[in-house]
Amino acid sequence: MTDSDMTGADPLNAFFRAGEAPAADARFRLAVMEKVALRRFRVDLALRLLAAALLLIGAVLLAPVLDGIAAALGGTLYDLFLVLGVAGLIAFAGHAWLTRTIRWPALRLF
Amino acid sequence: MPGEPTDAALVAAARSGSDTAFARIVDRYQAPVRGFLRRICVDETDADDMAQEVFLGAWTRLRTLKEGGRLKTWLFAIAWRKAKGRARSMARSRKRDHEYQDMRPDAHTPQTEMALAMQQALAQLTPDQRACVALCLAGGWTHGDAAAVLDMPLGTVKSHVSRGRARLSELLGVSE
Repeated sequence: MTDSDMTGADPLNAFFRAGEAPAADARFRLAVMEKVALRRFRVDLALRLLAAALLLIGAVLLAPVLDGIAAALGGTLYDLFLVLGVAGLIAFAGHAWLTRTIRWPALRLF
Repeated sequence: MPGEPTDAALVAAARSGSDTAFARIVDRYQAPVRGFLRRICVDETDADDMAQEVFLGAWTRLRTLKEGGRLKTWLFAIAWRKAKGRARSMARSRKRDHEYQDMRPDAHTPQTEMALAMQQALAQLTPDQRACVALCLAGGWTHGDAAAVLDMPLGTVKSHVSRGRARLSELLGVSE
């Protein structure tokens, strides 16, 4: 039997056609895209948490060195670096907020 | 159809982060993938849930699809692997699921007699036979393409199709 024979007037075809899924199904597409958005959010969140954790660990490990530098620089420059550090953290959080892929009201972790 | 983007174009756009392109991939292949899974899983709701997982898996692994690789074949291969992987757990939880399904609002979706008869007849075949029948007889795939998707030797696919067709014809009272 050739492949073309199978797709022709096969008496089983009517039975197969009866159980087919609809050609266009917006609900199905919506369900898939919702899952995609949720997975993207989870991956995104995991990466950002990892980056934040690495920053924190780095800051803790570098604390003795930074203390030494701060003592050498004196009070004014120490304050300047502190402000820059806090500004950097705010910028990081702001970037995370602005580039988030899911609006908070629609957020469902599980 | 003129103006319709090719699979390769949609894959490239989806890889670049376009949700619209991925949604079009879902639109294009949801019916054949769901049809295939409905035939091999028999339980329609399980099959549709699994079809959603197939597309989610495809989105996650889109970068692993080789350049020039056939999207349709790749999607069906994912579907087959998922179906095989879940076959055992589905059998274990079938009783529990049926109790849950009966409570669902869409549990008693009207089906035609033909669809029900086919569903019951397919349930009499082995999973491998069902998959071969679903692809080659219902989906119109060539034996070679089906063998590639199902990761089976060509001869095995031909044999499953032939035996599956004979068994279905017998069960459904259809002359070959």
